[in-house]
Amino acid sequence: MKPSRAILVCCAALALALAWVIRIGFPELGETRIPQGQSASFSGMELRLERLSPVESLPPGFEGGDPNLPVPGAVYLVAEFSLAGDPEPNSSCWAYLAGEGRGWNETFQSLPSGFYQRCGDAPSGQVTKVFEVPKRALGEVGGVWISFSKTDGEPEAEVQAADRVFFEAAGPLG
Amino acid sequence: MSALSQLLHELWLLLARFTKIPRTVWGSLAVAMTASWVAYFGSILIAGEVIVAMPWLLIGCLSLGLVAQLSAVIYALRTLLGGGAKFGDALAETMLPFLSVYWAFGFVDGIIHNVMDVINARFGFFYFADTINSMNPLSSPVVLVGVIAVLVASFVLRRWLEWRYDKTGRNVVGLASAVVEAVFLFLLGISGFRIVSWVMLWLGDRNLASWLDQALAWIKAAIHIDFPEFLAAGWEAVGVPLANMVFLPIAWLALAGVVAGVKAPKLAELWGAERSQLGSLRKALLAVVDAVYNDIDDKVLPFVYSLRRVFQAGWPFLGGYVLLFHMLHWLGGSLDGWIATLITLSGSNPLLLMPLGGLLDQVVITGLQLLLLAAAFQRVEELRLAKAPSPTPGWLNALLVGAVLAAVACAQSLTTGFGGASRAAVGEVVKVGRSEVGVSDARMGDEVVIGQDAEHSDQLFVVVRLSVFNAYPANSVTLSLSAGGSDYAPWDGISYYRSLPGFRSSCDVVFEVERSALAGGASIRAESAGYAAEFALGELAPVASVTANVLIEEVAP
Repeated sequence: MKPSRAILVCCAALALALAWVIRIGFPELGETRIPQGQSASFSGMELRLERLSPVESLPPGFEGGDPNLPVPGAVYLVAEFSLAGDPEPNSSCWAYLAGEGRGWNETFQSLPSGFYQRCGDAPSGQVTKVFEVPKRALGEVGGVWISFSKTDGEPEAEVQAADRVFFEAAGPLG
Repeated sequence: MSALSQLLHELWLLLARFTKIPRTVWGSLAVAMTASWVAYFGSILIAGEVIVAMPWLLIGCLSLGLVAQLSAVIYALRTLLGGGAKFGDALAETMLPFLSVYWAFGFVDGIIHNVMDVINARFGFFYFADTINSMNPLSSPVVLVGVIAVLVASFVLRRWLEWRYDKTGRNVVGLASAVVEAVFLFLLGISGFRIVSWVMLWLGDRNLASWLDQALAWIKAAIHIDFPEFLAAGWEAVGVPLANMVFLPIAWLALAGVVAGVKAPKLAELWGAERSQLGSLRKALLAVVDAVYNDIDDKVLPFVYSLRRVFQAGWPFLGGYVLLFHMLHWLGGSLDGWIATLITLSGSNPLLLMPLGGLLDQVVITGLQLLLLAAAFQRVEELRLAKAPSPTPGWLNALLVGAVLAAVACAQSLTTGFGGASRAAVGEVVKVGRSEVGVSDARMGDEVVIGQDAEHSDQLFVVVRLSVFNAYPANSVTLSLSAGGSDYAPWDGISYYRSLPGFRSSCDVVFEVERSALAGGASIRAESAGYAAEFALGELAPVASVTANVLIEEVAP
């Protein structure tokens, strides 16, 4: 074995370890980060995170929001977005709450009437995404990932284009 | 010398060879295994990046990772064996058996689960589910045509690359050919099964299926044996343990034989003539085989002949080698378990430390395994050249060695089970892979009440309370009930259970079990990511009616 090969492999191993720690430990590094209160745009729509805060119960009117109380030990985290612009047909967006090495998909959402598939094909208005998270995990929540996508419009349609942005929480939640 | 003492002698010889490995070889081995580790986790990391841009690139990433791993294994084995087949030839000849071994023994599942963990943690479970769905060839005609086109194109490209490799002998062309072959096999494995499922469903709706059901029912009535059930139970009881205990180590040794350059004849030679001299029927048959799978000469026969060479070494040697192989894996499994426990106790993100655990498994344990393979194959060759006749008949040797392996397997199963299952009692919560699983409140009755509905059966309903907790995204847990030599899936057809990170999910799971099967007791088996736990149900007294709450209840402890 030539020493140069051994050095090369050692360098590759160190590079992998570093890349792993960065990508898994700090997934939002190098991604598009939008501070709370600023807008991200995709496929004709503009989305802005207005508020991210925990609540103990939900008001009526949420899609599937019954019961309106979280399970024991958990809390609802409400992300309020404002939507502007004129989204193209079959475009959509969905949310994922970012913790440390883990995350939570949206549990409920409140959409303006006429909404199709989470965000797209809708008039402007307010979109509220609700996450149910363990109370003990509130301190690790750093923000919300929003995945925008555009499909060919069929059921189980192929995603034609996708984009992700990270909406940063204004401050610590827990 | 009896077969048993021969077995111990062979085991001792193999152990002694470890001490004679030159120090320079250790260095090369460590470098090769580290490169393999980089390839494995590098491909997982890159797969997590590219899947956002284009899900299909996942297959390319995993293929590149596997070929890089195989290249490192071949390089290490060639170093240990002191030569052997040309690198490109060994790569071409071992790709198919290597992937087959990887697929059959759950290594491919392992890498896919690891990719799933990375994607789940970064993007959420729905994203991964959406992504996998978008790769379903039955989801749209465009995807179906695309999959078929890529399969055909990769087949043709590989044939062209192999032709170029035969002409030029350049390793880089051999590597490219292996990558294309891996893409072909991965695509076939990931997408092909959906097409097969669709065909099976389609066939299930045809008259042919009902004729077959009637024929099986008639056979069952005539001989009082449910033949498919009997075969499934037999495979579960004998086939799976035998495959894990014996076939896996022997398949690895045969792969080492291919790398060592075991010569195999061509198919035409086996039929007793050169291809030009073959009869028209044989020639036509060979042409069909060539068209569908021209790799028989290059990929199947070398492995088959290497396997034959391994078996020729005799039962005592095989017994000693298989025992040593499992001792090594038991050591690896134990260290892996301790590291997982340490990570859990420290409260660290297991995904962040995943490569650290892999370092032990893929560098240390796999490196030792390659040393064992090289030593074992050298011993195979020594035994072949010595051609010493065994003082005891072959069947007696086989019987004795089989008995020793069965005793070891039983001893192993008493503590951990064949598949590495830990034992637990009802009411306990145990770790299964990365999940904490509890089974409690077991009861059984002639009738089960679910919500407003009461279900009756000639058999018995067994109901248990299942709880699953995951602090971090983890693989799902599957549940089955074992009784009377048969395995029963949950009655409602739900095949897996999971919890969101930080939540504990609980629900009642119902099994419908033959009354006679419960006479000898029953156990619940929970499996996740290759780990398993068995909860012994103990004595249960049947009651007239039991209530089951199958709705999932969550708490955040």
